[in-house]
Amino acid sequence: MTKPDTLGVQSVAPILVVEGLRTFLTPDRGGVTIPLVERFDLSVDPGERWAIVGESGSGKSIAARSIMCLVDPPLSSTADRIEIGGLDLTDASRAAWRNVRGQRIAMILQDPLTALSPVFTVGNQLVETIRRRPVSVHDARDRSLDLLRQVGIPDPALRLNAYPHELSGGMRQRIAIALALACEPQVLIADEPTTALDVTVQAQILELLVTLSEKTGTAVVMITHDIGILPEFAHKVAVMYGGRLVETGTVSQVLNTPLHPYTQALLRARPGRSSSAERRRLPVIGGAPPDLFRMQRGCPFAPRCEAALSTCSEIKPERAMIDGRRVACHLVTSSMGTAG
Amino acid sequence: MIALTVRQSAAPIVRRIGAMLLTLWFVLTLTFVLTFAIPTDPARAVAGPKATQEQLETIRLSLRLDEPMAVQYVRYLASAAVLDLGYSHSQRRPVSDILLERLPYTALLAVSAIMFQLIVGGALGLWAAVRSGGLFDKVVFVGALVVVALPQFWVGLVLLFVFGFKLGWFPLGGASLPEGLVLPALTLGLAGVAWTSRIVRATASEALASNIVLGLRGRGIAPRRIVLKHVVRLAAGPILSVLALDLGLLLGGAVLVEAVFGWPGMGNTAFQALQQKDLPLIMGSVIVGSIFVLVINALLDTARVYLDPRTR
Repeated sequence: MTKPDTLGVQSVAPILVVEGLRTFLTPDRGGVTIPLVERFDLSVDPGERWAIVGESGSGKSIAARSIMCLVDPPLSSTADRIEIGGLDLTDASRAAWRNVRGQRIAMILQDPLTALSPVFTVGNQLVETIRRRPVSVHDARDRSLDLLRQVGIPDPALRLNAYPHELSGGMRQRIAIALALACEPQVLIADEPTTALDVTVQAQILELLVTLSEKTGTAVVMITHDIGILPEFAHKVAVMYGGRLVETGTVSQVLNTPLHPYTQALLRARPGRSSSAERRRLPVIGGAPPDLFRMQRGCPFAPRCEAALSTCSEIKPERAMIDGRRVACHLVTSSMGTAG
Repeated sequence: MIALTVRQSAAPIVRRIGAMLLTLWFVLTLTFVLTFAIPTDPARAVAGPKATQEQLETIRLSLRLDEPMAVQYVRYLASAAVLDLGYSHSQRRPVSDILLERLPYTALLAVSAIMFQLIVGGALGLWAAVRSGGLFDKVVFVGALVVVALPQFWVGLVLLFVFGFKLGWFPLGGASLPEGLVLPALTLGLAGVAWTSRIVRATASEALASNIVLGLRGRGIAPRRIVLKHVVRLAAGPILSVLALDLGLLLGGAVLVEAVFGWPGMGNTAFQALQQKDLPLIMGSVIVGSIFVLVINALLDTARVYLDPRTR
């Protein structure tokens, strides 16, 4: 009340800020450094759910791991700015990162079948993670039970003593989620958390992630190639192509009025809801994803773009803000320029 | 429900013991057949080169060598079943008495060598995997190649010369404990250290690159804990399997090493028995050695099952 300006429209401080993230591949001997992710920016608000979409090899998984500084040689990453929960991690040491991982930002891996250790019980792995903080074994066990309940595992006391191979794929992914949530992170990165699962289980896991993020206020950044899940899951979406973000915006903006030709092509290539009578060949995006091992000028999508201009193969398009979303496309910016 | 669980968990043990007995029977039979294949007359071996034909005939009768082979075979199996392995004419004592006296020495030597190779080889392999591609990794790799190529008796003699004779740190032979055990155990385990380091290096590297470790790092688990708890545990199963396979080789090495160091174990006994053509003692050594390998094998298997819950 003493400060009137706080009463006005106040934007919440983002929980995760990534600016100018770049990841390179440096071959062992005498190779050129290959950029795999370039100029990756992301600003995630508390409790917000993002989806990063793109085809295989677009760099989405590597970008996600780079956000957590989890890339090993021959990969390396740098960023102009990384901030998690207000903590500046741009030039953080390994030890500082280790402290942040799990506690401020956690990750769920794609394949729950290989992400849990087969030789330790579920309880052992949960307690180990919880006890990164000064917690007694007894309290950690209680917390493990709570976590298992939270992720919807029946008979949690029984499951605590089970080994991962004794559980189904869906259960294992639930446990992987429980592990990720063990130290109450503010941001959760989920790398295709449902790809390895049955369709029905996929839906359950997505629903669980939504419920958990709403209940705990955890922001979620999900990597996926499944555009179909965006409406139910995400608030915002970032489309990646050739290691770059080509379009970011709210889900409704991007799905309803895609601006970038790649996004448009991607949406056209979804299996249609058209009736069987008018079933046509599935539209595909002609050509192949860019060969990252070849140095290229211009827009990475230009060779496959139906509307490419002459500048497209010459100059890399900068990202521009349009109606609260960002697009990196000469076509869009030039039409804006003529309109404005 | 409980009865069912017991029966389910008992079945593998029963099968296991059955397999062990079958192996043992095979070894007994093979040993029996071999005594007929080798060109030594048992009676002549007992009586010595100066014995007359009559004396030989008497000994033959007393050893019941005149009986049909099948009868001898059954009698042989029956006495083996009650651990009667015959009489050593060179030592003038029952074979089982000699071997029971020698077995603890060989067991001690073998277990020490195994411990040495697991601990040192495991540590080298683990560290090489952690520092993969670095200088340490390369040194361990080359070192392992060199060590594997060294003949065991030569290693034993060199160690004896340097640490026993020149430096005088360890006795030149005999069974004084614990100092007398050091050089024989090092000699017997050295090659094992080399291949253990290679296998652990491979399995640990694989574990370090796995999703399991990626997940642990993503949760901020300390690197030391990841290596010492998780990677060690993941690499332990495979190395025990290989060790179980190579036990026979280890025991074969023990014969040489015991001879070089004058270690009073079964290997040394077998070596002397061979020189004396003491057939019952040779057969007994082979049989007791096989039982030893079978028992250690079973123990290793149990440890492996304990280490990897998926095999339960």
